[in-house]
Amino acid sequence: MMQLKNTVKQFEDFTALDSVNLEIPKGTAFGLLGSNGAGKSTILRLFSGIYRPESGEVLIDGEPVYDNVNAKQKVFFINDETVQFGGYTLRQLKDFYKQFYPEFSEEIFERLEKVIQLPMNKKISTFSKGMKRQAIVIIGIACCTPYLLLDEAFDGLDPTMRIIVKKMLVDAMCERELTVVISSHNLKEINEMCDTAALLHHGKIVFNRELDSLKGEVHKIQTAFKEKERIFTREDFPNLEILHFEKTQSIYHIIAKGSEEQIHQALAPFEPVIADLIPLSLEEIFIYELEVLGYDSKVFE
Amino acid sequence: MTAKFLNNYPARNALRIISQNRKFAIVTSILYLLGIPMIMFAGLTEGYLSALNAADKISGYSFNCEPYVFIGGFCAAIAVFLGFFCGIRAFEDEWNKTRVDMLYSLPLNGTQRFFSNYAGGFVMYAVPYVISVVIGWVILLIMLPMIQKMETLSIEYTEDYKYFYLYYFLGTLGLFVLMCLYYTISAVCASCCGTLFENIYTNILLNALIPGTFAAVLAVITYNIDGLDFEYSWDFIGFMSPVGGLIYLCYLILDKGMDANYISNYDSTYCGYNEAPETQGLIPAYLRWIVCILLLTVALTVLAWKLYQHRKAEHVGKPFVYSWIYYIILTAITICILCISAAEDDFIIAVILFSAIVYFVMEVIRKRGFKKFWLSVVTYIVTVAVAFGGYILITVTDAFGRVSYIPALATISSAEITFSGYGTGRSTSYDLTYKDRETLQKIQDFQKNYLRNHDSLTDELQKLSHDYHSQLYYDYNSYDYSSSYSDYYDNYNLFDPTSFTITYHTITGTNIHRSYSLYDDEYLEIMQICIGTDAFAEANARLLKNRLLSEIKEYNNQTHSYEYPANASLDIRYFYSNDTESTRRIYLTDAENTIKSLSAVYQKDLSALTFENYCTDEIIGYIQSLPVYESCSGTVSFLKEHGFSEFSLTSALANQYSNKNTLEIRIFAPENYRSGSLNYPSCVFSSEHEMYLKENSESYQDIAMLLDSSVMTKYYPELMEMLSHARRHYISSEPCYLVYLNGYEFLIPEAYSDTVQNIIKLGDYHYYQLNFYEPNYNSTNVYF
Repeated sequence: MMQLKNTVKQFEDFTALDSVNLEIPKGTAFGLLGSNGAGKSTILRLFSGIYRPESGEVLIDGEPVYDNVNAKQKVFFINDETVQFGGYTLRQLKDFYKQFYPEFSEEIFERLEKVIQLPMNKKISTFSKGMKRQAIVIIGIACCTPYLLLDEAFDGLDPTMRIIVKKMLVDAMCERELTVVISSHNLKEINEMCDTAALLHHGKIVFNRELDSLKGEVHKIQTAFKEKERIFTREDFPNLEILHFEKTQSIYHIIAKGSEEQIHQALAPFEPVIADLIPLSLEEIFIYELEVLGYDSKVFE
Repeated sequence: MTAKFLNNYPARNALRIISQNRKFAIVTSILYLLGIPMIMFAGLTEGYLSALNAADKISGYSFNCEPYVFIGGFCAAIAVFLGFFCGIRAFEDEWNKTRVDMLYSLPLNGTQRFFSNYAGGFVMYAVPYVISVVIGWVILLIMLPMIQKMETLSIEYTEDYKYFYLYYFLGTLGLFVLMCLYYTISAVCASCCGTLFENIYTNILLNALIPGTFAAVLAVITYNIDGLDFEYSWDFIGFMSPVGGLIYLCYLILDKGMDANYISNYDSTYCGYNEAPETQGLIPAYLRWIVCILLLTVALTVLAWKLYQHRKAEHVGKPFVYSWIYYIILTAITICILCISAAEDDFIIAVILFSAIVYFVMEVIRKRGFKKFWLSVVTYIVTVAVAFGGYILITVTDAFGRVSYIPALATISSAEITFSGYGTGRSTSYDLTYKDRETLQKIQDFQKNYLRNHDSLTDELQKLSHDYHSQLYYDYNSYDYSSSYSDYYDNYNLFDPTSFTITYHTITGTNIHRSYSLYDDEYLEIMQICIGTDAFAEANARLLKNRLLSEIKEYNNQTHSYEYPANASLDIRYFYSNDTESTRRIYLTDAENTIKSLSAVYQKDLSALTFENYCTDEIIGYIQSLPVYESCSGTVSFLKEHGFSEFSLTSALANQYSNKNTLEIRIFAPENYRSGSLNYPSCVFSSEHEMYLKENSESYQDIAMLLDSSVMTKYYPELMEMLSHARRHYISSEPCYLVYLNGYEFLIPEAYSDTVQNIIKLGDYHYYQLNFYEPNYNSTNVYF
């Protein structure tokens, strides 16, 4: 299990993470969502032992990870850059990582390499961005660490390769209880890959839920009421946790948290003429959740 | 935990660094391999071919190793210089954001990461050097025995090669240790800087500033505070920086090693001949130095490691992870610039302006702009205030009492005193070491007395004294007769006080140096301590032996023989004479042993010499500028046995008279040249009597006579009477007359002042002649 306990991370006078608590159970595909600068990459770097927290704990299987060889050996981190170790060929890079990760599987590497078909003896600096990404991903999977951290993992990959990489990750998860933590702005991919996700904003966790339950708890409601002259406001629905409230002519568009039953109960006293509940995509949840926190694209209008 | 630390992950990371920098490592290796082996091969080839040439086995073929030595030296210097770059390459991941991620996420802890990076760079830097040194050894071990077997090898080469193995070992080991220090400084910089640019310039500045700041500050302090010697600075410069250490290593091997084996330094009593370097103090000094450098390297490695451990991954891109190192550099630069103002007061405004420009430019570079510029102005003002305040504090407190600090007798293991002799062997410099408590106590008493006396001299008096000395020096040298005098003596020293250095070696291994300027009476106090001591006698005798052996060796070098000649002739130089043949040549059979016997006799005589003898004995002659006193009966007898005949002034004058030559005599009354309590021809000044000299500076008069043959005939008996008492060497506290005879100084002891007064009465008539008559120096001048 990966844990953050009251973790604070500061960069001089900027607080990147503010007393964050997070638990990622083993075998989970965990998605980290958030606005730019919310602290997603910081969490990944804390888990991989790159950053030392100012306070709190960062634990891998109960052990602090910073400066701990044992704990670090359980984690493989793929960051959002692709320029490291450019002087190596893929074979040399594989041999290098193989020395540090005793569970490294040549078999897995060869299998994945055959699928991707990257040149083994060309320097990585000559690879395209996507090829570099593929190279490091197959090495990361072949290292067979219990935890794999991917920061903007699918950046630079073409659609076909995205599917291949996703399949590789899913296979690895199925084969050996691999815990994958993915940080991405591409919510579709998080949606496809992850079973749990956390949303971060300004160094705090907004929510940390299983995606299925998350989707079932937030609804988009299109409704119209019998009293056409009356103008309804948020305050008229105190029993609903409303993320978004908008009126277009006589139709109200409401994004609210709660089960279908709770929503219908809250609307019933005002005799809705129509009340359609549409499930929200992860992207819409992201936008409306952050809108509540003041992170709203309408500020530009 | 130990097992974790000792896993092979650090070695793998080190190999990664070497692998990533293999092109750079190849270039360094080539430079090293062109360096030492080429120097060695070229130098030894020249030696071998020279020896073959000398043996007439080959002819007409010459080989000059200099171009190859230059190329080799250049390559080696570049390779050694690249050490800081090896450090940068080893730690380069630290200032690249993406590489930091990959490096820090590897299963290595901070300690493993630091030492693996450190080791990776160090292997790139040092291994090629070690290989080149080993190749050098192979060349040396093959070629040197070939040369040494050549019987025709000249003595010079024999001496060169005798300790070559040792010097090569000491030199290469010393350089290796310095390389470790140099590389470690680059590791400290790597731990402290977050960008490549800052890293490079911090490296360069630190290496220049450590010795530079010490040198500048200590130069200013020692220049302005009497007693502290700049020599003292080497304890900082030579022991605390790679650049200073390299200079110190060269000094050790050249000065205490190679040069000590020759008589190249004729004027020093500490020069040895064919003596093992151990006896010159090379090995102890070298060991002390190398241990200090190693300790410093270890300390800096620990510092770099600790700084690295506290460094965070997010510091990448920050110019200085630890801003104190930047402020140390900035302050050091400012102080170095401000030190220029100590040399010339007029520069002070310009120097402050210049330092301000440099300071603010560096601040703008660090801050990448003018952010909080007012803070830079404040810190600059504080820096300048602290620099000047520190300077004032040091001068006011006499370097926090260091000037007057004298270590307790019980803590001293030995004291080394160094001073230039004059009057009796002006060109000899003494370097005497004493260990006995009695002499150590005398030296300390002398030092206390000196400090007390000089402390009581006010600044105004010191200035008056200085001005007066300058004027007198000018006056003295404006006389014609000084020209012949200066042929033998160094005029620049004539009115200068002699320099004197005390070095206390304490039982804890530290050295305490003090340097003073001695006036006549203080010089005599020192001589009073030294005369009759074994150290003094031994030093003079060794010098005598070395100089004489050197003379015959030089002669023999022309014939490429390394044997001393069976027979040789030596010059005994008279200090005074009025004919051009001023030397007496004696002939020796079995020269080497005869010289050693003479040296032994001379040592025995000097051991028995009392201070009274030293003051009042006439010097009957000089051997290689070393005086033979009247009371050196053993030496005189030895010389007579070898054909030496004594010489008297009156007989010389008689000879002058018979040749009808013109004679110039000047007589100085005691009050006109008197140096306080002392009458000493070559020494005119005394520290205690500056006021006396000042008061009498207007009355620099003399009584002069120019005696032609008719006048000489007329006053011959009286002149003979006066000159029969004339002494070239005489030290007394009683006033006595000084006589210049054809440009040479003699003293008439106070007991015979009446004979001089008689001459003065006789000479009144001739007094004014001198002003209108140019003496014929061609016929009367004396050459030494």
